[in-house]
Amino acid sequence: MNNLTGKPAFSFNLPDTNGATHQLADYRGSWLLMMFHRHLG
Amino acid sequence: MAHITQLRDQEAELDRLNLKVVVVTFENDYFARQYVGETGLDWPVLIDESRESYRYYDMLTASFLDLWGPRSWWVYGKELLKGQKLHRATNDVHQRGGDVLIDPDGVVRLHHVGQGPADRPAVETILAKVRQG
Repeated sequence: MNNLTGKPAFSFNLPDTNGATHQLADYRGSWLLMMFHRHLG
Repeated sequence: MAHITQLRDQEAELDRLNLKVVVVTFENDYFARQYVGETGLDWPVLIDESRESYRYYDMLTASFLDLWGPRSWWVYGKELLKGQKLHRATNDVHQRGGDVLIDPDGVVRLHHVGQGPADRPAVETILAKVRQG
């Protein structure tokens, strides 16, 4: 696995379940934990 | 789910540390909304159906043993005993998950790709990284 610790985060631009769009830039200045789900079971 | 529950128990500390949390799924909006409704999750659930972010973080295909090995059964059994409802997967069960911690400058500080359903970094490990700055 290619470990990306210390590298720039992926510049995502994704909708949420309420239709709002989230970008990495929205979280500048805060820590951000992204929890990637497997299937939603 | 245990990982999310443990994080939720730390919500005051997350606020104090200025640590935001988002959940990312590759499943469609319908299943994502259903999940939010069932779990009462108030963190944003981001939908990445193209799995671009999964690919960037090397969260690719899980092996047969990762999915169906004893560790997986142990995890699912524990969830059932706690009353957690399990659903038949309607999408790709081979997709890996994991956690990525990003600092305020947009740099990855923890990159964990899960080897099985319960393989997540300890909440205390995540919080320690943030406290270290």
